[in-house]
Amino acid sequence: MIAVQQEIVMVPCPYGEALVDYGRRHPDMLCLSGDLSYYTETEPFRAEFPGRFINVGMAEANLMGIAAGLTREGWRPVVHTFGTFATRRALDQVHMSIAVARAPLRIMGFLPGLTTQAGVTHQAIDDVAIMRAVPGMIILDVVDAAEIASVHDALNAIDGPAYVRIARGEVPVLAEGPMVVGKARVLGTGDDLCLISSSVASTEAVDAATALRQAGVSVQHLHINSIRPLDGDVIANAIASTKATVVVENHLVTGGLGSAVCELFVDRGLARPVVRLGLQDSYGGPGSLHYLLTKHGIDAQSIIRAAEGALGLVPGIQVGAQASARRSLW
Amino acid sequence: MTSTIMGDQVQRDQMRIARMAWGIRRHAFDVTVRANGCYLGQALSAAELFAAIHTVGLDRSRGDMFVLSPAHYSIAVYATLVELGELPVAALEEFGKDGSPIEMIGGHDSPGMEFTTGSLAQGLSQGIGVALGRRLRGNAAHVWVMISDGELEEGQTWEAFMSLAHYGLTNITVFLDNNDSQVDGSPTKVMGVEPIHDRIAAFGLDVRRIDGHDVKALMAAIQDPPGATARVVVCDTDIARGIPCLANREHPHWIRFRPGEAEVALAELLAGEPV
Repeated sequence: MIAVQQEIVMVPCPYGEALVDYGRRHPDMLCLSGDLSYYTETEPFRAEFPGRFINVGMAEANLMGIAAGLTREGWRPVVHTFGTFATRRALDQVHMSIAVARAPLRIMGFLPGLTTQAGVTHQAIDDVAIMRAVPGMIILDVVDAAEIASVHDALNAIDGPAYVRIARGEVPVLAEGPMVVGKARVLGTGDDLCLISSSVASTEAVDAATALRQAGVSVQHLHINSIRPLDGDVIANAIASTKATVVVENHLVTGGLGSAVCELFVDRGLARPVVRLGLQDSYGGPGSLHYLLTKHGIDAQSIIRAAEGALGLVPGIQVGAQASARRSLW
Repeated sequence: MTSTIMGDQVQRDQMRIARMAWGIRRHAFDVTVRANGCYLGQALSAAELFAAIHTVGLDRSRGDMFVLSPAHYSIAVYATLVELGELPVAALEEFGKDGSPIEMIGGHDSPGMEFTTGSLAQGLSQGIGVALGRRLRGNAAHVWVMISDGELEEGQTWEAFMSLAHYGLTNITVFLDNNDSQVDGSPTKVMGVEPIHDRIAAFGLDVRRIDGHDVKALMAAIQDPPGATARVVVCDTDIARGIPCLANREHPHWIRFRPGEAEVALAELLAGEPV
């Protein structure tokens, strides 16, 4: 059967104005850029607070070091670059200049996973895995308009470093209200399938969950924007109260959300089938988001297939037509 | 009369720096013997540099900060603090012991250390961050950064020089210990860094190159009025200064005395003690 799809509202560029708003309320905050101001939506901040905007150019190692030094004078830098550059180009600086001293700053990693047509150099498919191996680093993965708008307020009480992989441009509305660090967002409750998703995989998961529900499958859907700390109790309860779990992420299946959830299985002694969807030991490659998600089995239809397999259902549930149409936006 | 008084003060400072430099070498030697190995050569080459910065440069009452970029020079920092009376000499007995912050390659929790800079070439960027942060707050305190010639092989050092000139910071001074030594030998053989003066000057910085054991030249580099851009003082130094028996070591990067060698070294050191 073909599901009737619920419409997901898309919102353009909520980050830029949210950063300005946060900056108005937090005079100690500085905006740092690695020559990617337009592409990380920081131009509204630069226009409003030119004296608190520092461009360090294309020099990520120096960018991280300068940010760390600024924290010593009481400033709270927010570093803007792409996730690949923040994690791959400047990892030693993230460790030794920032994390070991618990410097209170934010690293905003744009272009999470497959959300860019700029190819493998710009697709951060391993940034969560890398940052999970940085002791003490808070790791958020924000895609929903409300969580993007509230992310700096959510981090306000964190007196240490945080890495935020963040979507730009047209972003979906998945839930209402501000995000809370360490809290999963419950997008649906049910007792057959536990569906755990993050980043743009969450919109695919919403489409998949709609189709599954219309086919009679009861779906518990958790959208995860806080990877460290992880909402272990809520996730473990969702796993334990359903028959099987599918984790889907816009990232390699190694070291990311799927790995974190599987660690939870072991740590809590949970015995349930679990399937991890995401990039399987592969780079992303050239192409649109929809093309790449489908190619790598991270799209709604692949989620449905994985759920059918995990639950022992006869395959045949189809994703709704509107979902495919909306995906052309990305 | 006034010039005589000022001349007396200059002479007193010179003598104080020379004596402190000798003390730094002596402490580093003692630690090397006691711990059976240390980055002794780095303390020998940079002793006058450390002593001069901490005697006539760094003004703690103003809130000045000293940033050590190559943390392998940690022993020189600890020894400087002992000479200044800010660290008891007994603290050096904790050097290298389990769990002690008096680490061989110190970190941000070690005495006199601001950042964790054992992974080289990260200190200058952080010092620039501090200087930028102070300028933004209208804080007049100065930042003194020490870097090494080996760090010129890391790209981050040149990223930092580029930004130092771009931001037009003058509340920071950089001292480069050019002791012609890195793990595999002289940079001339490993990966050439010359012409150091011209390369850094090409970035638009106020460079001067001096004998890093010449106390007068060090004092002038510290006390001369600031230029239009940040000053970088390239200090040509000798990694065996004060203990010449170490001069022919194939690997002077880290020193463990051989049997009978420490006695010779101590005799050389004592012979060079300023009167």
